[in-house]
Amino acid sequence: MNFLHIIISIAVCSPLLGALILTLRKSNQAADKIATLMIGISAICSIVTFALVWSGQNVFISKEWFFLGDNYFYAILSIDKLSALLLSMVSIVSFLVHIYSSAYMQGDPQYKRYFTLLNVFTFSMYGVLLSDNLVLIYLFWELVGFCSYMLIGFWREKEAAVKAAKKAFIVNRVGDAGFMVALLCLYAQFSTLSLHAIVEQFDISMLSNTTILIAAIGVTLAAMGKSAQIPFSVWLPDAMQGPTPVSALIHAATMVAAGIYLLVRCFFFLPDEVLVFIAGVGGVTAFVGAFSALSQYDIKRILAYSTISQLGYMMLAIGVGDPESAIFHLTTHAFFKAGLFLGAGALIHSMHQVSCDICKGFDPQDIRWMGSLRNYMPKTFIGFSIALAALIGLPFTSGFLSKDALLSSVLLKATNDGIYWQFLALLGFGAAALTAFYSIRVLYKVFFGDLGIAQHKVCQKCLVLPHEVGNRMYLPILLLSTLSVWFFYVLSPFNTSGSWIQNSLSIPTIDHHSVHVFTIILSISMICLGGGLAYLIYFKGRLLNLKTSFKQGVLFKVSYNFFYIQNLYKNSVLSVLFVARSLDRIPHADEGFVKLAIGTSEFVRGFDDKVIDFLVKLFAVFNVVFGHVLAWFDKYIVDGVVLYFTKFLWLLGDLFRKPQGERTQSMIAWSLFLLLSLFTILWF
Amino acid sequence: MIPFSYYMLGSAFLFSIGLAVALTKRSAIVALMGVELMLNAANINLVAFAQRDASLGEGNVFAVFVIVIAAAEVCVALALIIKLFQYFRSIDLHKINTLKED
Repeated sequence: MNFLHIIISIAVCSPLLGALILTLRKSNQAADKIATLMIGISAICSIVTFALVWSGQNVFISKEWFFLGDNYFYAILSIDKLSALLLSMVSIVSFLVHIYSSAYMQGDPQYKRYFTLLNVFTFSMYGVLLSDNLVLIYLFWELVGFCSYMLIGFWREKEAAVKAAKKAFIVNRVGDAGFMVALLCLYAQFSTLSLHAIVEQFDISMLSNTTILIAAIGVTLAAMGKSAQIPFSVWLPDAMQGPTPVSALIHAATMVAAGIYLLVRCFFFLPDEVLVFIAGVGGVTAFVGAFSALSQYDIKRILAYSTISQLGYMMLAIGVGDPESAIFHLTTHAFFKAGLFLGAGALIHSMHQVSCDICKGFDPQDIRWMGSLRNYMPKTFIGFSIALAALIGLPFTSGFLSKDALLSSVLLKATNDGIYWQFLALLGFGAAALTAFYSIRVLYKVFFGDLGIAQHKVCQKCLVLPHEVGNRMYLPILLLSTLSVWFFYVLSPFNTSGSWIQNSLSIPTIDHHSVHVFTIILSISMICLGGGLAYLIYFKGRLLNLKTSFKQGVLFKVSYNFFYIQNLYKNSVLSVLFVARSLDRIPHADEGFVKLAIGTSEFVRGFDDKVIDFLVKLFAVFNVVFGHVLAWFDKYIVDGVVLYFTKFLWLLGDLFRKPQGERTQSMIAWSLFLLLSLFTILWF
Repeated sequence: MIPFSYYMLGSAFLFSIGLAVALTKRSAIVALMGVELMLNAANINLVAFAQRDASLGEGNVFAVFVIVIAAAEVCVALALIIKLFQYFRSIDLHKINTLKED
């Protein structure tokens, strides 16, 4: 146990300890302080760990866990640069979310439960990041899923929240089945589930192995479920039903990051076929997510689709063989998306205070009610717009750097390989344009334009103007937006390759330097296209015909309903039910089945009666007879021997006991007899 | 003169009777009487040997000693018997068995 081990143990265990303390306590009092303190300790320790690990000290804490046959399983905490980076990212975001939540959730009757879950959520994400054994990763993976289920459905009295929680849980389960299959396949192949052991045993010729292929597909499915890729992405927009800080945590640091992280960890055994698949899923998700964000009115839904789209980018990067850029984007995205969500939470918070009981149908999350909020909430405005700039990928932001690195890899692949990759690159750059468009739209609708609520007739009576949130809320937002500036990642705002994150992680990467400048030009022109269009439509009020025709068109509905994926699932279930019901209506259709079933069951019953029962009976009789024989043997032979032996000893004892004085006189007689015998013997 | 062997035979006869009485009788007093008989048989032997061989003249003195010791022994024995009777309410030797392990 050296210093680093202790620091890591504190970092990992303090959220769990916090959750335990909160569980044992009864009152809501100071729940936020305890939870935040614990996460704060954890964050400090994580940063220390990060600093030490980044300078080259990998950590390996191993403990024997259980064994299966001859194979020992070790519970191993393994911290390399990748997990140290994500560990500190998760702890910082979680810490800020905790601080923010203490203000946001003020007065909630379930205050304590909320913070307990938040602590456990962070802890389980730590577990995913730091475990070396895939079984352990799987356990924590499930725990992350469970915590998200509890937090999305936090407001149990809201039916929509409960439904959304169930949906998230079930959709994730589908992917998790893939994880399970992958675990079994890997175990069959390597007889171990320890990642470092698998890396050691692995060689490149195994890539053509079917077992490895199935494992790779399973892991991909799992990642698609957690990271909300198409077609599993239906749960993420609905997850908005949970408290907003939770959304920030889910979208930035914990839940959706887990999928990308797993894929990066397992990247070494992903065959090319699977990579092609991952890239396809990622590219389509990036585009579809961005496209669906265009038409939403709920501010949190816009951000949710944006997250789906950004995760698609990460998957795309993994698919083209550049997981390093994916991790880079994951890290930068975590900060600015958390900032955006916390900002959205601040907006919703102050919109809530504007509303009153008369305002039926007023939705504080609807951007149509917002507008010109920059005048009322300047600090939130600054934080939100910096994070938004990072999301668009404007220069001088972290988003620009990571997106640029990612798109460069895609572009390189597209120039070298076939039409398929060119199509994906097109989707990727298209999504960049869409991202710029919806970001500008949100910016205008929320912070510029007219205050929507002021035009609402009913609410004229109770109109209170929105005001800035407290410092516990805007400080985390400002801090997160500060972390979205290029400065923290690389000194030069345009050159990604000098970044300290890049080239330090020991994961594969692509040298995309050759297309770097071209990518910058292309992506900036895409941003200008999308953003410029949005600027013209919203800020300048031009091209309004285009806007109305889009609104009445099919594309708008497709976008608003997220490409009808949800309905597809619903309808397929309904049609199966319909087919089942129609079969019911056909007369006599079932009689044949019934007869067949009765015949089969008769036969089975006969077989059971005659054969199985007979065998069972025979066996029973044999056992009884054998038992009797054993009993006889025991009673007469074993017991008899013991009995006779004791009788013999008894008699022997008697023989010596009798002369020793049953009566005084016989004692004298015996001694006389013996004396005489002695004399007789001596005489002769 | 009575032959010497007659004394021996008489003494042996008397000793045997005494032994038999001491071993078989239930009453402690009668058993004590058997012991006295055996002592007297020994006395007859001592006196007879002293008469036959002049060099063993001290035999008579031994006989007197034996008689004195027998008298003392009877005193002690009778005292014991009285005590036993007080304790057991009986002088049946078969019943006096508390020293025996049950």
